[in-house]
Amino acid sequence: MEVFKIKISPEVLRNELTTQSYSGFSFGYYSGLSYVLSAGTTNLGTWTVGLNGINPGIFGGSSILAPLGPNTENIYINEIDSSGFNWKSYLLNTKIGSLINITADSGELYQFRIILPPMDLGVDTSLELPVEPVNVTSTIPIGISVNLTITQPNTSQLIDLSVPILFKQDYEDLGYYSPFDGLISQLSEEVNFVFTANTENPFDVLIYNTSISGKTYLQNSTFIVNWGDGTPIENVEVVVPESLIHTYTDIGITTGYTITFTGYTSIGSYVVKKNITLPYSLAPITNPFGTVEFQPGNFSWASTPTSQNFIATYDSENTVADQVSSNFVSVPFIVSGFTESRLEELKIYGPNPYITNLTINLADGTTGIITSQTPEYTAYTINDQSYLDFSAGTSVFVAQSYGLTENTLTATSITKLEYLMNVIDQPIIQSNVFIERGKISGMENFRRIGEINNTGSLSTYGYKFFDVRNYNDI
Amino acid sequence: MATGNYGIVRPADVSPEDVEIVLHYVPSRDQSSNFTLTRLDSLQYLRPYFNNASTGGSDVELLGGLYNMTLPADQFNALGIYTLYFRPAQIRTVINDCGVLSSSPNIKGIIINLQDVPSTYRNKFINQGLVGFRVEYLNDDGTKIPNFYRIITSSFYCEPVTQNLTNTLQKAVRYRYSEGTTNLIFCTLTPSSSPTTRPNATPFIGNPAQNIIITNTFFNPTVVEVEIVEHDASTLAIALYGNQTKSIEDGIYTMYDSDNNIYRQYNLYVIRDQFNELLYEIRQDRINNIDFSKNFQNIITIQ
Repeated sequence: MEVFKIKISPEVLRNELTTQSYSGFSFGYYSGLSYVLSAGTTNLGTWTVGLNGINPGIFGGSSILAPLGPNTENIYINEIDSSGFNWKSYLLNTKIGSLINITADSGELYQFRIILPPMDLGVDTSLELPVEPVNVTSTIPIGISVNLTITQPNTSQLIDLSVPILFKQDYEDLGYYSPFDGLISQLSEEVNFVFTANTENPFDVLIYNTSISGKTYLQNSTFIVNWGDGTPIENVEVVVPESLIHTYTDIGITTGYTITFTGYTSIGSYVVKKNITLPYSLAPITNPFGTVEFQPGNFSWASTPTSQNFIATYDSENTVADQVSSNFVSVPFIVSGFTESRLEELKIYGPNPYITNLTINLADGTTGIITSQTPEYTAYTINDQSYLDFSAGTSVFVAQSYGLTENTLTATSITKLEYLMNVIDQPIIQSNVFIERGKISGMENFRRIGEINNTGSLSTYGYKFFDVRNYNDI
Repeated sequence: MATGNYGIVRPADVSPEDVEIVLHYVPSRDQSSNFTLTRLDSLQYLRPYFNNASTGGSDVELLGGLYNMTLPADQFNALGIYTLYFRPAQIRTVINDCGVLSSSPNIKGIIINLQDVPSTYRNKFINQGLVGFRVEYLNDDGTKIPNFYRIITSSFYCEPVTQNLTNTLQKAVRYRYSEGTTNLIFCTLTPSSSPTTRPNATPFIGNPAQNIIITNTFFNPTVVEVEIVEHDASTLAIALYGNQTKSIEDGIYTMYDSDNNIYRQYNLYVIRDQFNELLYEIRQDRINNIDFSKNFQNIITIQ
């Protein structure tokens, strides 16, 4: 198996990386995957928890954090002396749902979620963050040192990447497919049964005891069936082709039952279980054409179809009527092309070798007729196929085809015969020996002159054996 | 009489539905035991290419072979080695029954009930819809029988019938092919008949009630390894060839990418001893503590 290796770094994201601006500076810088992933997280540095000023809140820029706890509803931030960083401008743009993460040195995490837009208090550089505690069960102890980060939701700059890949298929086949009649019988089983039902009586289940009964050592076998619906166990005294019917109770909902079929034979007892679901219904086949929907894309993907069918019915509906060409094209249709002239075959003896509208019988039993002669072309028909010989020396044929018809197709079931592995064709006899009784013997050369009745046939017949030259060319 | 086999390697035009994507992740190559395995939705992330005016063919015609695999950000979001394993989708079902062709008793097959097939894959269970599919077998304890499989050579709807045979010692015909849709599919398998050298040896094709895995053979399984790295050649080139500034006053050394975004920022300083002898020259990464006043455009427009 081939392995394709790809190395990707976040650099490929450069063009897609969006930046946030505050205080006139670009914030969403990056330098490697770590930065891309943490693009939505802002580190507010290390703080000390203490009782300083109004509770609850954060005061003194980067110094003092109030002891927040389970009942905290607002966090106040004053950015004075906050390392020269304009937190207020940044925090005013934080989204609802952002998480304020306060991590103690001990590793304990206190999280508060912003639930309303941050409010500018209009006093100096203070603002209010309405929050709700997230699983905060205790108040942050006074005197400890904590680290503060704010994570905005859905701000990771990482986007879906994509890589092209190659799928290939090794197709190999060997063996010989042979016709068969399509009848199926059961594999040898000492104990077995099959069941059937129909949608007309969806609660009637027929079982057929298909256990082998012809073998001498199985003659005294007995069989019982447990229908799985609480009804008494029943003796099965019939063998196929007779069946045993059981009518289940309609309880109003689709119910599964397990039919347990037990056979007691001279070589032991066997149990066969099969599940049925009633009322009996045909299994619904969804998406019969294997349609796959694709999300519309942008740019180069825009012209990509939005769906594709991946299941074709060409094999599944393989009756003759489904395969004839008239299903697919209007018939007859014209088939035309260049060919060699066959006008010589319509040549007759005499001063005027080509006569219009004179039907000529040809050697192969067909007929031909010249329909038109003009200085530009000669039109003629042989065996209902039209030919045109042009003065420039080219010839074309024009025929009407019906493609595959019912007469040319035969429906036959086939299967692969294992013992003819490596054999792909039926035996055929190849021979170039022709014997025409009463005319020539098998020892003579290949000359069937008796079938030739005009000069055209003489030139084209017999694998070019006869070298016929036109008098005018000599 | 021709002998031999025939075949070809072709670009696959498999449906994304028939592809199963298994994602294997390890943070680094020395942590092979610390891996995670998960499955990705191929319908969501795998898309075939189609032809266009340049490649010939209409724009609704599958190009064949070439597919686009999306690497979702919710999975590919950490450094490490991601191994994408593309294998044919597995259809897990159970053998309803086993049978043989009455006209050719050496040809056996399995019967599958469509009710036992996941609804997603039932559309494959049509006449000849399973040709070429592979059948693998499970033991009763759920283990898979290794290195053992059969190939489906035909599949047709069938139905149980009660047909009498004149010879009572002969088994009756139990199934026949059905023109209409039924819930049962009869699949012939290969190899299923005895080899000529051992006519009494019967190849195993499965047992009734045995769990099996049916997989398509529309494409060869393949593996793509994607390594997410912190830096690659392009990002390293930023450090080599990108714009840079060094602030003499505060010693902040800034690197810029090709769009003049701040890429990295360092503090440059020296450490001296008590005799003012130079001990170290330091370059220290400022990490998140970026001084945005070192915007490249701002700096070069000062003069």
